[in-house]
Amino acid sequence: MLDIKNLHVKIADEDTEILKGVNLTVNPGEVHAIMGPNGSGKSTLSYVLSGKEDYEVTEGSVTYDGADLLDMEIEERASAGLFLAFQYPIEIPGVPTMTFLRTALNAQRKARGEEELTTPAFMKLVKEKAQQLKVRPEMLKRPVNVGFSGGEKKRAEILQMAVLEPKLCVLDETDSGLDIDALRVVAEGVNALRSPDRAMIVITHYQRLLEYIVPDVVHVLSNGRVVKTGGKELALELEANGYAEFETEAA
Amino acid sequence: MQMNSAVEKTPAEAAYLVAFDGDGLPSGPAWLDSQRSAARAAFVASGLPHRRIEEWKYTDLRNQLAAGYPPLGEAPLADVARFQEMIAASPFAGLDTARAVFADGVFRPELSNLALGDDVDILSLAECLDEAPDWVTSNLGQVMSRPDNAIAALNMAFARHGAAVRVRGRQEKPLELIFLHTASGHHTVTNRNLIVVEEGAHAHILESHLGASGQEYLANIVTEISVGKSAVLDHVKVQMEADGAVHLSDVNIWLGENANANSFVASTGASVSRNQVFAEFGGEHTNLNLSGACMLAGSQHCDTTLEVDHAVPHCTSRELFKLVLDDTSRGIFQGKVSVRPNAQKTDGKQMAQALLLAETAEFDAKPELEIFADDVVCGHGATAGDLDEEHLYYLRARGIPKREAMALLIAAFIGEAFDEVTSDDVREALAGFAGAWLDQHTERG
Amino acid sequence: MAAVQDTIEQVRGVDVDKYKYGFKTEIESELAPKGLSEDIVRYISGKNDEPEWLLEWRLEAYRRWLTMEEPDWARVDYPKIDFQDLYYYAAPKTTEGPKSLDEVDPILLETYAKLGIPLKEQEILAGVRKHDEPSTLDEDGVGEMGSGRVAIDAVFDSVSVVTTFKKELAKAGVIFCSISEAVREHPELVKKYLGTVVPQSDNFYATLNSAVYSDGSFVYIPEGVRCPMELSTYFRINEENTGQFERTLIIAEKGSYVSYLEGCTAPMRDENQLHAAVVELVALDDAEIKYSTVQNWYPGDANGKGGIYNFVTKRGDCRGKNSKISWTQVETGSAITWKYPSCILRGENSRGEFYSIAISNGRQQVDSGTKMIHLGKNSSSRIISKGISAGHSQNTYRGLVSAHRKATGARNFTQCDSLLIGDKCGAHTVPYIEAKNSSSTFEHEATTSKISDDQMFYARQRGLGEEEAVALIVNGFVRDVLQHLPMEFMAETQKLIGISLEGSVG
Repeated sequence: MLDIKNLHVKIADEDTEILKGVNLTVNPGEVHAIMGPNGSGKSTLSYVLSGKEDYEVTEGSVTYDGADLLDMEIEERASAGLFLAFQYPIEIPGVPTMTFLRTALNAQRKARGEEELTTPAFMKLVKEKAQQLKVRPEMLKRPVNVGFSGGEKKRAEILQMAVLEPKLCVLDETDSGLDIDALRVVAEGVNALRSPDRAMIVITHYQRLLEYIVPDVVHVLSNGRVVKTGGKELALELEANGYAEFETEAA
Repeated sequence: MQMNSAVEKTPAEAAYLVAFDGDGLPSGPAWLDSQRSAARAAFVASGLPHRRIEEWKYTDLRNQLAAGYPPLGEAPLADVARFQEMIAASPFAGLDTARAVFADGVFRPELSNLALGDDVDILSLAECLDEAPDWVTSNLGQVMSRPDNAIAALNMAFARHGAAVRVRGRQEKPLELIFLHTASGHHTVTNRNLIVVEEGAHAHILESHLGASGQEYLANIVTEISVGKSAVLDHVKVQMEADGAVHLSDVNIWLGENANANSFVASTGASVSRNQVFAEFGGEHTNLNLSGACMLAGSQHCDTTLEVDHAVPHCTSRELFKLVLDDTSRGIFQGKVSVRPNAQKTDGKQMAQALLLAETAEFDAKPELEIFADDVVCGHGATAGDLDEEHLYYLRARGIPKREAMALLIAAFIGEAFDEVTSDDVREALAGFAGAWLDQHTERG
Repeated sequence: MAAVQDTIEQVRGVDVDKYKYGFKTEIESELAPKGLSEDIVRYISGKNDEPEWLLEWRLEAYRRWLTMEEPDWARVDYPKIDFQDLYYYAAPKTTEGPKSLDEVDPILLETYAKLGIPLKEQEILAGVRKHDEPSTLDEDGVGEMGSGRVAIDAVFDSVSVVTTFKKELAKAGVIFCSISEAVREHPELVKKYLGTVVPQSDNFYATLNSAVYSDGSFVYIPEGVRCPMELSTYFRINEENTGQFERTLIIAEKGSYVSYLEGCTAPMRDENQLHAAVVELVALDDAEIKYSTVQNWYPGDANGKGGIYNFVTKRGDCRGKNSKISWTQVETGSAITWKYPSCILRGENSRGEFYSIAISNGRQQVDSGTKMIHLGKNSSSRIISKGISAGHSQNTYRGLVSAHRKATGARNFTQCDSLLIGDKCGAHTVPYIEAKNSSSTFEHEATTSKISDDQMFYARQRGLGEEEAVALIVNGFVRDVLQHLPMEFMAETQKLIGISLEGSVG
C-alpha cells in the first residue's frame, strides 16, 4: 500500500537534512509503529506523507497504492485515503466543526466519484461516531478545535478519522497530552478502525500507546533513518533501555 | 498641505515670520544652510498646523497658540542654585547618570557631567556646528527628513543648541539630557539632539524636560536617533514642563538591521503638548517598542502621534500607551502603522487605553493600519472607560479606603506601560514619579 | 450549512464572465437631456408632479451643491467626474399602465427574473401600474412565496416601477410605496421627515441627491405595528451614462418594527456609472429598523475598466428612547465604494449596530465603515466589520465612534478584521474614537492578517481544493456578520463571496 524508498527530506529554504534515506513498506491491514527520540524526524515523515509545503524531498520516492504520492496535491492524498491525525490540531475560528467535517467528507466522496451524503445521513453518522469516542455534542457545535482542551482536540481528530474512513492513517503523537482514560478512549477508537484493508502508522515517543494499539511492526527512527525494525517486543525493549543505544549508533 | 496665504496670520505665525527676517536667526554652518532655508520656506508656505490637516485633527496649533512665541535670545546664566534645585527635582536625580544640562535652551557645561568613558562622544551642538565631525554632518537633519512637519521645520530654522551623542560601545551608565526652563514671557526655546548608536553598541538615553512653575514658554525639541546594525537603544523621556507651557516634540528613530529600540515617554506637564514619534525600519529582523504614559488634570491637552513605517520585511513593532485623564483634560492618541509592499512577515501590534476619571475629560484616538503586504500579523486596540466599579467595591470591601483603592487601580492601569521600560532603576524612578503625581492628585480629589 | 456547498458549486460554475448580472435590458427609455442645471431639477420635479415646496427644496440643494467641492479624504482614486456628461433622469417608457401581466413589457419581466427578484408569481406582477396612479389591483389570493413573504419595490434606473403586496400591507397600516407616490399621497409625512436625518446639504453627494433624486422607496410603519413581512427594494441601473440618485425614507413610529432589504445590480459597461443615493431612517420610541443591503453593482473588469461609482449616504436616527437601528451590509460590487451607514443615537438606551462584509477584488476600491454618534444616555453600539481584499484592490475601513458629554453610560464595541488574499492588494483601517465623558466604555479591536498557511494546509489535507478551502475559511471569517442577514439573503451572499473571490488564489 505504501512504499517509501530512500527518502531524503530537508526543510525548504534551509540546508539541514532531516530525513536521510528512510525505507518503509506498509501493507494493507498492518499497523506500524514508528518510535524514536525527539528530533529524529518522526513528525517530518508525517508532514511529508501528507504533503506539507515547508518540506523539500531531495531524493527517493513514495508510492501509495501504485501512484507517486509525492506528485499529488495535499487534498488529493486525503481523498485517496491518507489521513494525518495532527500532533497539534490547529484552531480555525468561525468554522463550525460540523460544517468543516461535512464539507471535507463530501469533497472526498466527490473526488472519488461517490455520492455526497445527505444532511440527515451525515448527522446520524457523526452522532454515532461521536458517541463511541465520547465526544460531547456541544463540542461539535464549536468552531474547529477552538476552545478544546488538549484531550478534546485529540479525540476530535480521531472522530474525524472515523467519519472520513481513510485507508492509511498516520497518527502523529496522538498520545501526547492525554491522560490514561482519554488514551484508552482514543485507542479504542483507533482499534475499532483496524481492518484488513486499512493500514496505520502510529508515531509515538513512548511505548505506552502501543499497549493499547498493538502494532504488527515497530521501527526505530533515529537521526533521519530507520535504524532498527522488529516485532511488538521491540517497543518493550526500548521502554526498558531508552533510545541511548540508537543515538550513539547514529552519531 | 494648503497654503495659508489667503488666511490671516495668527500672532504665533506672525512672530515666527518676523523672526525669520531678524538678526537672531542662526545662519550656518554652510552644510546646514540649505536645510535651514528649505525649512523656513516650508513654514512660510504652510503656517502652523490646524484641525483641517488630518494629522492635526485633534490638536489645532493655529487655534491653541494664542500668543506669539518669538525665539528666546541667549541670556547669561542666571541663578545656578535655582537650576541645581530644579535638577534635583528630576525623577532621575537619584540615579547614577551622566548629565548634559540645557538651561533655557543653552548648553551649560558648569551644570553638566559628561564623563561616560571612551565609547561615548558627547558634543554640544552649538560648539560643533562650526567644525562638525562627519558623524554629525552626515546624520543631522538626515535621520528622517520630514519637511511637511511644522515642528521639525521650525526646529530646523531656529535650532542652535542641543546634544550630539555617539555611542560606540556599551554605555556604562545612562546619559540624562536635562532641559530646564525658567525664563519668563512668551518665547520659544528650540533644541535639537542627535543620537547615533553605532553597530553593536548599546545606548541608554534619558531625557527630562522641567519647567519653573508659572512660565509660559514654548519648547520645541527634535531628537534624531539612528540605531545601527545590531545596536540597542533604551530611551526614556519625562515631560514635566510648567503648567502654562507648550511642549512640541518630534522624535525620529531609524533602525538598522537586527537592531532593538525601546522608547518610552511619560507626560504630566504643559498645557498643550504634542509628542510625535516617527520610526522607520531600515533593516530586517528589527524590533521596536514604543510605549508611554500620560497623566493629565486641569485643562491639559496632550497629543501622542506615532507613525511606524515597516519598510522592510521581518520586523516587529509594539506600542502600548496609557492615559489617565482627569478634570477637563484631553488626551489624544494617533498611531499609524504602515506596512509597505514586500514588507512580509511584519508583526505589528498597538494598544492605547484611556482611563477617564472625570465626566468632563476627553479621549480621542485614531489608531490606523495601512497595509500593503499580505503575510503580516497586525492589529490595534483602543479602549476608553472609567475605573471598574466592581474592582473598587472589592478593594473597599477588604477595608481599603476609596481614595487609596482608586490610586491602586490607577497605578495598576498605568503600570503596564512602565513595565515596558527595560532598566529596573529607571522603572523604579518612573514609578516614584507616577506615585507622586497620583498622591498629589488624589489628595486634591 | 448547505450554502457553503452552494458557494463551492458556484465558484466551480463560474465562467470567464464572473459577473452574472451583467446583462443589459433593451427597453425604450425616456431620458432627460444630458447635464445638470436648474432646468433639469425642474424637469425631474415636474415629472413627479411635485408640489412647490419640494421643488424649492431641490433648487436650494442644487444652488448649495454648486458651491461645494467633491470630498477627497477617502482612500479612493478615480478620474474627475464630469457632472455635465450624465443623464439625471431615465425611465422605462410606458404610456398606459398594464392591466394584466400580458401587458407588461416581457423584456422587463425577464429583467426581474434575471435579477433574481422573486417576482415570478404572475399575480404579484399584476400590481404593475402607471407610476402616478395608486394601485387598484386586488392582491388578495397571492400565495406565499418560497422562503417567506417579501414585499418588493423595484427601482429601474430612475423610477420605481413596481411595488407588491401593497394592499396587505395597507391592512396593517404600513405604507410602502415609491417616494414620488408618497409625496403625492402622504405629503405631510414626507414633509415632516425628509432631510431631517441627512440634511439637504450634508455632503457633496447627498446634496446632489437632494437636487436630482428621481425616485426611491418610502416606508411608514405606524405605532405599535410589527411589519407583517420583509420589505425589499431592488435597484438596477440600466441606461448608459446615467446617474442613479434614489432616495429612501423609512419611518418607524413608536413601538414598531420593520426589516428592510436592498439589492443592487447593473449591466457591464466600459464607462463608469454614478450612483449617489441617500437613505434616511427614523426610529421613534421603542421602534426597531433592520436595514440590510447586498450591494453587487458591476465592479468593472479585471483591468479596472468600467464599474459603478457608489457614493452613498445612509444614516439612521434613533430619535426615540429604546429605539434600535441595525445596518447589515454585504459589499461585493462597485468599482468604488464610498459609504458609511451611520447611527445617531439620540434616544436614551437607543442602540445602533453595523455589521459589514466588504469584499474587494480586481481593481476595486472600497472606503466604507460607519459612524456611531452617541448623544443619548446609556446608548450602545456594536460594529463588526470584515474586510477581504484580493487581487489589486484597496479596502479601507473608516469609522467614527463618539460619545458626547451628555451621553453618559454609552457603550461601544468595535471589531474590525481584515483579510488579505495575495500580496498586490491593500487593507487599511482608520477608526476614530472620541470619548467625551468618563462613564462611556469603548472597546475597539482591529486585526489584519492573511489566511493562515496552517489553516489552508489543514483544510486541504482533509481533501478540499485550494479555492474551496479559501471559500470555506472566508465564510468562517465573515460568519459573525452573515448571521445578521435575513434568511433570504444568506445563501445569496455566500454564493457572492465565492464568486467575488474567484481567481484570487494561485
